[in-house]
Amino acid sequence: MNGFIAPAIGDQIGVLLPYLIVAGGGLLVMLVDALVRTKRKDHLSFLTMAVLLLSVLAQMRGGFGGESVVLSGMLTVGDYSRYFNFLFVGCAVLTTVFAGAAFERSGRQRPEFFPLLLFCVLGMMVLAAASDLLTVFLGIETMSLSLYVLAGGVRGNVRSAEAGFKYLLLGGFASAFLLMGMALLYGFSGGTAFSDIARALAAGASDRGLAVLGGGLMLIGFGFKVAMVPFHMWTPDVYDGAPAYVSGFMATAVKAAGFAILARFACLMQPQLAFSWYPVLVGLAIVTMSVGNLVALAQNNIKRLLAWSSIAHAGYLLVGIVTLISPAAGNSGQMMLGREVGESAGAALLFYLLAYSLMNLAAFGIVGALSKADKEADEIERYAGLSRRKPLAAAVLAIAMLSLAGIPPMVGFMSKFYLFSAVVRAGLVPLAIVGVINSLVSVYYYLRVIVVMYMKQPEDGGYDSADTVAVSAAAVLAGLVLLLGVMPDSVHRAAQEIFRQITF
Amino acid sequence: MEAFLFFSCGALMLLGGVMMVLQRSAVVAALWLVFAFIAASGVFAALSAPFLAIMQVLVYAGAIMVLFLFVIMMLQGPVLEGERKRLALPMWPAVAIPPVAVLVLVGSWLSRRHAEALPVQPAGFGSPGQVADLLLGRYLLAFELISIVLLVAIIGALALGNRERKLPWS
Repeated sequence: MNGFIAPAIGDQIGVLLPYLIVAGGGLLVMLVDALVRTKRKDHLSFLTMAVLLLSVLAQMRGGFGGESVVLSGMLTVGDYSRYFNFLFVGCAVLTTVFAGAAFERSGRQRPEFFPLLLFCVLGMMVLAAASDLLTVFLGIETMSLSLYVLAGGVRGNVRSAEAGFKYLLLGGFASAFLLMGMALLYGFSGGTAFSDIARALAAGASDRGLAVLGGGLMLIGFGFKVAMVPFHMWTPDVYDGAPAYVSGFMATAVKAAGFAILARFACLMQPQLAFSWYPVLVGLAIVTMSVGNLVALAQNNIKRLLAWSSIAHAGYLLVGIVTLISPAAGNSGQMMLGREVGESAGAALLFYLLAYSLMNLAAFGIVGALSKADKEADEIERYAGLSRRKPLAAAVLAIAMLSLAGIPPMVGFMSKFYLFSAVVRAGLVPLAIVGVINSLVSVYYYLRVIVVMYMKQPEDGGYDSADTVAVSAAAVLAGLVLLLGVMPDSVHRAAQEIFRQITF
Repeated sequence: MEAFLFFSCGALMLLGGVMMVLQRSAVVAALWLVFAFIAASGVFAALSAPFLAIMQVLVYAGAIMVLFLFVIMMLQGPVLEGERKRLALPMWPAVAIPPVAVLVLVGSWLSRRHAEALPVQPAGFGSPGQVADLLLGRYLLAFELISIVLLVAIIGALALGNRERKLPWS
């Protein structure tokens, strides 16, 4: 603790480079915006993309494999965090494209958008690598504070302001739960590092109740971020009120960040707290899937429909976490992730998050592309006849919907296949049956959008203008949805490899 | 002695928090919050963290709350007249919670008195030098991340609060 720290950081700078690039990039974009005074702001989105791509290069620089614990245990950087970082950066690049297109169309710039997006990505990257309660909290706060402004900052738009305000209030409330849980866990283990907590749990300290309570409160905080069911009430309002490009980012990257830390945390707490963790998570998974899908059936607003569908997908992902920590995956000592079940569950979780991000970004991208400056394209009825007016946009949205419903040959099918086969392999057949029934229910509301677009007679007032840039970006995503649906193997194998070497 | 200081300051802090929530006038609520912060600094002092205690008073009770009070007074201190009834209804917690909290605290203090004594802190514990060592050593990442969080908060406040929605730099 004494002694000068600079040399110690010098060794770790290579590992930290992607984080430094994203953080510095945020500052740079802000400065460039201040110094280059032009009416058009194209250069900002290009600069943001360049920063993000540079961080990808920095990620790949050191090669893959191996985990390194840096900055006195605050971060654990390895393939697990790298996978998530690629996912976050990918989502952020596409969000930059969609947002840039939306600004261009509306003629209203949001100068704060790009720096905040980069800081948000930084928060997520920290979260995916966090191995200390402090970094978990700061990562979540960096991410959330940026999101409150991203969601609520559309000029003169009351619904956006409402969304931002609701998210801020409820998010602050959830952070309080998270912090209280952290305080209790700190009291239990006497340290904030995950390794301290694991040690205290393994030692079987007497105040077990503290750990159960602290873990439970933290679960509430994480549950809020990933839209788990009793803590989901903000989701439809915020996704509906925020502009589509922000909603798409929140539904994909933010959810992935939440699950990145939830999976790590669940594995940390599992071994000794099996009796109190496992049934709770099973129950939450079932409720989340069912409520999300059932309420989505009744939606007439496509953004609310996608919000409820994202709640349902959080339920499927929770099933993945349940499988990851199930007794069959090994529940003594450290997670036995070398074992087959834990490995397939972890791989399924990672693959599902990627697949879900691809298809959901495509869907929100099309919604954003059809939107006008002051009115988002959210009424499903007005999509009637879109297949004739804007065939490409309709086709992309149809592919996204089919994939979300889990119909082959889209990637949504493969992700559900991997997930439920891992569930069955863990011996949790009832849970798999509930999941499959749920995804059957969900087919109805996804197909309804397609039916409206392709089979209903176009009426007056249908959406008829689409942004070319945004539609083509979404088309690329739809192409990836198809490609990964047909050839999922390489990505899935990489995900398996990540869980083969990992010890949380 | 430390235990007595800890529990009495803790009780006062709870009292300040509860009273702050139950106030109808924003100015009075802010003053109760100052009270709670000062009590919190007493808790820090009891935990042999003198530097944190002083900072708590200087930064929170001093600078930040004075700023708060100024803002509230500039906005003409909203008094929630319209909601008097709804606020008046659950007044019983105001009466019930502080004595219960005090009872709990006194009870836990009495039971703790016989437990092991507080560990003796090494010389210089909680001094500015040690705090700085931790902040710029072990907790460097947290320290830097907090500065990013504050930057985001500043950008957000500028972007949301400015009616023209033009940031100063553009």
